[in-house]
Amino acid sequence: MSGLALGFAMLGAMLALMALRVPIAIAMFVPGALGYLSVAGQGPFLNLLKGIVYARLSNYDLSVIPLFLLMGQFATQGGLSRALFAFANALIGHLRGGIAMASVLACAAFGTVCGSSVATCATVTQVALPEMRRHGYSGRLSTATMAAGGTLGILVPPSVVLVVYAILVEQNIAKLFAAAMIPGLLAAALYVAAITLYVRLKPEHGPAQPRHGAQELVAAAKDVWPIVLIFVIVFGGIYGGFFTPTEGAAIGAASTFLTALFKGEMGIEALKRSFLGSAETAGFVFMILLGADMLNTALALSQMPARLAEAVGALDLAPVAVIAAILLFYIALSAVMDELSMIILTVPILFPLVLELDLYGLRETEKALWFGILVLSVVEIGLIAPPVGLNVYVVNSLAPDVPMGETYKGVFLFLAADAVRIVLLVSFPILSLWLVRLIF
Amino acid sequence: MGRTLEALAKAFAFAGGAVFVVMIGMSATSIASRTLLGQPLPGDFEFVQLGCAIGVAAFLPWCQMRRGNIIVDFFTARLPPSAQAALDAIGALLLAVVMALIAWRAMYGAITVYDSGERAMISGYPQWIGYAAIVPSLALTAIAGFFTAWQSLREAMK
Repeated sequence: MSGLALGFAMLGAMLALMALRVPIAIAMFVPGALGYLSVAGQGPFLNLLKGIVYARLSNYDLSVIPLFLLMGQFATQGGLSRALFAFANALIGHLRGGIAMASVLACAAFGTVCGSSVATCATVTQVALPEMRRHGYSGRLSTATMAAGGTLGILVPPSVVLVVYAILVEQNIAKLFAAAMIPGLLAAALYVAAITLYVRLKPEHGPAQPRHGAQELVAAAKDVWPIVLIFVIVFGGIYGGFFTPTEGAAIGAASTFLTALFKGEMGIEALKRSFLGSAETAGFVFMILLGADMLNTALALSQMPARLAEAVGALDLAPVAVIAAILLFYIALSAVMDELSMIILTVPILFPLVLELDLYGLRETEKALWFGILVLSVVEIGLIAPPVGLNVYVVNSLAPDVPMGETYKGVFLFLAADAVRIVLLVSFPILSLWLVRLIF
Repeated sequence: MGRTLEALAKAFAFAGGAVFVVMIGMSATSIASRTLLGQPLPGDFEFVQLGCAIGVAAFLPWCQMRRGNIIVDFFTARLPPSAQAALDAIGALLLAVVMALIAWRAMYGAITVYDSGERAMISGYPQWIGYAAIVPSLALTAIAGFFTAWQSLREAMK
């Protein structure tokens, strides 16, 4: 069998296994292992397995993942979302649609201590959704706001998806976080704009409220400053060169834990829940990485990614058209697969291809950063788009009185905002690269 | 059986969490030491690598006990529950076999590294410790895989 044929056979077997409910990690590992075995033979295969696991698990850069997961768990268990929402609500909750806007801002702010969408979605929904419903907001607007707002968890750094991408393409994690900052804020701003527009057209979905008093605002601000401080310490420390992203995550986890402890919301039970929650997520992330290691080692033997890059290069397409095609492919794929598996599976194959393209004359590093932000922006669409938006399910489990169809109707508003953002990010790489150029 | 295994997987996850707490403490000490005293803890990043490997490996059994290893359910969502459970049994069984293979080879990896006497570059701890420390976690994940496969099989038989 030629290398290319072997590559396609492995990918085909993987897709078949995935479709048959085999865990994604294993669906990648098994064809990779068989492919490697057939090319290299039994001795090298058994030898490879001796070190492959430890090599993956003991990666310094990857250690940032469990630490950021712990930080997110501490923030979730410690009820930090309540303080953030209360503050944002005191600030703008009186506007028409204001509580929904406040929820978006709370999600964005929570995203600075949490790198996961589903966690952000679930925890902010618990405090914000009842508030919206109590003040007469429609089920459609309030649930869709929460589902979409939750995606800010991965769009705003830190983001587990970005860490994984950084490692796959061998880029600096700190630079990628910097690149994600403005697009993350842009996402939040466009969501707020979408809500503004919607309640202007349909005021009954998000009625205005009496203004909150200054006292309330000051009281809410008192609970928020620790979170601001954590953000400043973690990112100030990383960009000031005081510590590595891993150390930043460690400090962030420690300070989030202490904040929750002083708020009286962190006991032994909450700590146990935090550990188990982190274990579940970190466990599947690293399993997929292991499966991908096996598959990619075998694919490298088959030289498939390099051949694919050459073939697409020979087609002589407009570079931006190739990028657009890749992004559309991701959007389609995100309907069936979770964002991390998608990235781990596709980036090693597609990234060499992207590097071949001449994109606005960007240098290699900047291309990698910009492409990462684009990928990040499209994979979260699968979290809210039909047929299976994970965030929609999460919100609906917390709002049993709102039919899922209503949520999806509302979600289209935010998908439109996403579409605008992605077009802006593709057309203007400077949105992703300006801050990186400024800092580094 | 199920309850013991669940308790054991939980204990591993807590132990993994504890490893990360120690790692957090060490990072804080290292940062403080080099900003205040101008000298970092020697080889701190090597201990982060060691801790990450041990900690994450200890997370794996719990993840499988909770069936946290992500699957694609898009194409099979319309199958009857018993057919889905049967497929899940096969998936978990494959996972168990892969993890058993990996655990077995990782053990030989640990022995090879032990024989070579390899040490960490700066801090000088013997490298085999890390290789050996992940083996029980990998083995327990394999057992968790067999157990969840059996659970799914029983569901499929119902």
